[in-house]
Amino acid sequence: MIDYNCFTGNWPFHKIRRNSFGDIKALHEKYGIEYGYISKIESIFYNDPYESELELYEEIKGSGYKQVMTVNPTLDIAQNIVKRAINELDIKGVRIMPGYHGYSILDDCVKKLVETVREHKLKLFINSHLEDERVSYLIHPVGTPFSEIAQFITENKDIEIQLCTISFAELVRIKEAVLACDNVYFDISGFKDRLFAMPEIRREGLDAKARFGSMAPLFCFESAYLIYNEED
Amino acid sequence: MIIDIHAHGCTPGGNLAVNEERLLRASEKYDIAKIYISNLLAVYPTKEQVDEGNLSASRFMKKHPDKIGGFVYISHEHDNAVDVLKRGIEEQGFEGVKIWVSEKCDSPLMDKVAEKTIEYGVPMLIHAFHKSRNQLEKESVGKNIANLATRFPELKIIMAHFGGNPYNGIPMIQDIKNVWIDISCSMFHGDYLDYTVERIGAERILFGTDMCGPFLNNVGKVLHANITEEERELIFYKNALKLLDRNFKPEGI
Repeated sequence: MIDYNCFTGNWPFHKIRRNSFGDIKALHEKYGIEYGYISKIESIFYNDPYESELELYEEIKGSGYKQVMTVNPTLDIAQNIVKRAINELDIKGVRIMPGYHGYSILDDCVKKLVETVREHKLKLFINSHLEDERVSYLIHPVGTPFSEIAQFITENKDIEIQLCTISFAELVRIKEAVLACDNVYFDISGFKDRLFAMPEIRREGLDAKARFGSMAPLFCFESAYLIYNEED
Repeated sequence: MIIDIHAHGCTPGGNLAVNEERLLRASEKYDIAKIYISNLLAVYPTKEQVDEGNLSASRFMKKHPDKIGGFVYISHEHDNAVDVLKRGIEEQGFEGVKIWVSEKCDSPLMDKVAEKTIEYGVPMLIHAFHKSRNQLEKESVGKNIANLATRFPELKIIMAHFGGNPYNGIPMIQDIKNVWIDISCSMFHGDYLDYTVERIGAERILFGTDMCGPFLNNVGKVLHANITEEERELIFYKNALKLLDRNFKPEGI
């Protein structure tokens, strides 16, 4: 198993325990996870996320983990730092968080970023949500509208896209678009409000698109693990 | 062993028959020793809706006494609230009282219900959820729980959902020994339970799910927390057994 959605680092609004790369790796080893696509929490908030990406690069170097750079495409420097990170940090993916950074996934700035993602065959990770919006503090993000996600994935069938932390209800609403796009996957870290979630995903015919993503250490790793591995 | 102290056979817009089937399926699939339900038919229910919800919950409990227990739902702004409570405990088989969002829990309208609840020795499970958006007008948060608990130190209170945002709810009740909390909540943020154990200890924390919402993510919270196996057992069931014992009184009483 691979963890397609994990982090290291500090969250600005409350303490995160067991948040080092060593902590995440130990958790993965305990549960038989081979490696993770890993991001740095600080990159969400830094003016120049390259600073924190460099830290992550040093932390995971030689581990087999794949670095996913978080970038705000509305920044003037976005293209510049992503290209630099491709060359210098060997990133394997780019993560965007429209709800935190205040843009639409259909905006031109995202189109420019997608060109770079396409050119370098990176994976694109889209976080529809992060922390539950009801408990936000100081910054009050909004979820990415599922209708925009459906349009976006339909228009970008030549890059690998992972929908991170999308809710069960949102996913079912865009089921046809997801199933029609061979390049689109989702992780289960947003299935927070559903009893028998994975059995229902199988009944919806979406299981081939499901990936394990824990959102650890922001979310409880074991919760995601139990949800993903639930049998019928 | 797991006791789920916070679940629902019905919430507004839900399908009672479907939910009851899902609760029984969950009970069997996850080997839950007992699920405690309350039935909520409306955010601001009429007296008739309160009665209808309690009747359906009571029927379900009596049909599956080994698996299903319950809390009688009270809208304490209703002038018959004490009668509903009395019927619920004495006739319908409920083992506790459930308060939701139709009136703040520290309203003076609660006083007679609180006094009667103390008399019965049963716990009062109170929804509490501090939100950064869409807070309901009469939805209680940690400070309301603290007010009520201070006014009635003999009342055994369960603050639901960590108080919603634990960083708001937990400090408010940290030193108030007649308040327990349940972990039921759809969110499975990694630090909520560790933070809560650090503040109030494992002895005042109960396992709950808010089913027919999620079950496994709540189990994951307990497995994820940096606590001992003994503390896990307290949270999964031992604290609930203690609190449900009518002869058990809060510390200092």
